[in-house]
Amino acid sequence: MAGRFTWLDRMEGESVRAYDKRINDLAAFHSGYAFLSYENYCPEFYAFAVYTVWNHEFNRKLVNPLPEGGFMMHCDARRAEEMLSCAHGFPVFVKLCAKLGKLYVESFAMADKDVVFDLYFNGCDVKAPEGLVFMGNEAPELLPVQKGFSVAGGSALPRYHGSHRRGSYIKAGSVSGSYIKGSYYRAGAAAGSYIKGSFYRLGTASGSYMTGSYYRWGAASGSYRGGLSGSYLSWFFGGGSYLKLLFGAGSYRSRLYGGGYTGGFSAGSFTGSSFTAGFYYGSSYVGGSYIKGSFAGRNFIGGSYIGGSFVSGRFEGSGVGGRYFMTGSFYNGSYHRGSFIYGGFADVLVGSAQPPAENKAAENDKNHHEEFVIRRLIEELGYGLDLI
Amino acid sequence: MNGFYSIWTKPAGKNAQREFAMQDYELACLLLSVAAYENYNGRTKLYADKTSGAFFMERGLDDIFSRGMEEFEVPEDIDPKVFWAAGKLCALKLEDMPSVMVDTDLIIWKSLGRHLRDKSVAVIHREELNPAIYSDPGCFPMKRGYSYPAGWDFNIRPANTAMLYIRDKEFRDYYVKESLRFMQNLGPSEDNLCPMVFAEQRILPMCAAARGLSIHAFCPEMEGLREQDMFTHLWGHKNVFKFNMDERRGFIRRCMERMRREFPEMYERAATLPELKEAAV
Repeated sequence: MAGRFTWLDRMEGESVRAYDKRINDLAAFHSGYAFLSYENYCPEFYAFAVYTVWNHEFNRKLVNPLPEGGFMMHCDARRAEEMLSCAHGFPVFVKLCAKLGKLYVESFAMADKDVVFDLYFNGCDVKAPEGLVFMGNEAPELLPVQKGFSVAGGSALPRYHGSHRRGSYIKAGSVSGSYIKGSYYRAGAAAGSYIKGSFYRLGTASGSYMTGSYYRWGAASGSYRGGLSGSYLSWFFGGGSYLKLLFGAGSYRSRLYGGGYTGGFSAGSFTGSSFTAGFYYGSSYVGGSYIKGSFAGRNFIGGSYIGGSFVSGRFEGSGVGGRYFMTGSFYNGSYHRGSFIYGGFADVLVGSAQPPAENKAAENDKNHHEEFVIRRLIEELGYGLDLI
Repeated sequence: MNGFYSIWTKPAGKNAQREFAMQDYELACLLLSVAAYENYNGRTKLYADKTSGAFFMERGLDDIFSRGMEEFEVPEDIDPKVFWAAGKLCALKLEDMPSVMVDTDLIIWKSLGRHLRDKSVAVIHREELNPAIYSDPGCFPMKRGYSYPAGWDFNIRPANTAMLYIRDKEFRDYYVKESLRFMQNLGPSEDNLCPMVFAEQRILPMCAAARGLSIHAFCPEMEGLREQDMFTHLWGHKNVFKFNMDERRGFIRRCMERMRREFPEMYERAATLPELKEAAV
């Protein structure tokens, strides 16, 4: 929406000093969205690398237009889990400042309901999410102009049918076709022999071959023989027969409720009546590290697997055949963190993983800032700054 | 030992050139760098194009360089978007040797004299031959008729030229000539990294080897940069200053404080600048 931020311009006749004062007195305001993902969480420093999307008009007015990445936000693993259950972006607020008539951002903050987190720019790497989901039409003027996306307003949801469907849709009532590919926001249902894409709030889905990213998949039914891969955040619920469900490994004839699958690995929560041996057996790989084992009973495995080697979360046994064992390598060969409710866990842990460390994260603890940065390259950070 | 800086504004684009202004942290770093260089090493000069020269004149900073300012130009057939650091080479061409070329975001905290006594060429550190940055010379879209000199060894590690000492005019001429010849013979390109670092940082050691000269590196390996106490180089940290005002202000305050303690004359000048007076101690 052109012109929404014209008030940030220096007005005709306004002196540099008056402009600076006007801008410096402004309250923080909503100017973009922040997106979090498992891949961008660093459990060692309790920090997210945050992917941000800015209102284009606002961003163009700054002396230094804001980048998509490089921001960091601190929160402990528990908070991180909570926030990751929301795939939509969190609003980002900026406090502006002006100096000699030029516009800069003084500080950044992102909000999760009533909790505010400071965002710091340190140039950290961030992996861009596959698909961006905004909070409906709450603030459509903040949506970036993205090729391939369309926005449908109103309550009537369009339906798309056809033997071949490809594109990006926001609020598609239903999508069907023998070949469906694209990005969908609130697709009521999708059915097709081949479904591929990014879905947010997909009510139901069925197909013989499905791949892509799904957020809040309401229900899935049918037989899935072709394999399912991609990123699955939040809900997966369904009954029936799941053959070769995940990465073509094992047989799953059970109910699967609540799961997060990121990058071909399990990260999220699972509750099932029975997860037969082989569920993860040799089939979950990220960056060469893996978890291998059998999970029976009520299991809860969650967390972030960064660089393929980190596990955090809670491993809980119900006593119903609750044998837990894990094998593999963890972060730096020695890392996992979380709350483990099963006495025998450590005994059957194979490899070099250490017992869980106490979670001492202080939300928004600035002290971690330097540590998080330190891994980065000299070229990116400069050198000898401490000599000044 | 003479030293020089250069500022070429054309790569910033026409709009930015019209409103050219150094950012506060850039200015603080440059003033501190000049003060430190003049204190520990010798006299400095600024090679400036019309735009940057006007900026320094307006702020009364033209005399902070004891050898003054000199206007310079970059040939029109060099693409400023691709060869954004070509100004350094053109300034180097004008400078009397021996001299030290210093980036505006680099501060030298100690005397170089002892280290450079018997050296022909010196840099702070060598670079790895990372193919993503230092791509195969055969990949560059060179104009018809251009060929690399026969004696060049493409396996030699590049040399970072944030600081570059050259003793002899003859070698300087050879290096600058080859570097500018490469820039002027590159065909249309959108790549603003690989051709530039090739022209500046890879041609240098190849030229040196072809002349039988060795390059002295203060830190032969990059990791040594973390431990050294001779140089401050902002390098990529400038990007942090763009979006992190706390860091930026902290850096400027530290620069101002250092100037106040060790280089009070420069501090007095800095404290009057609109960009820096807020941070005056």
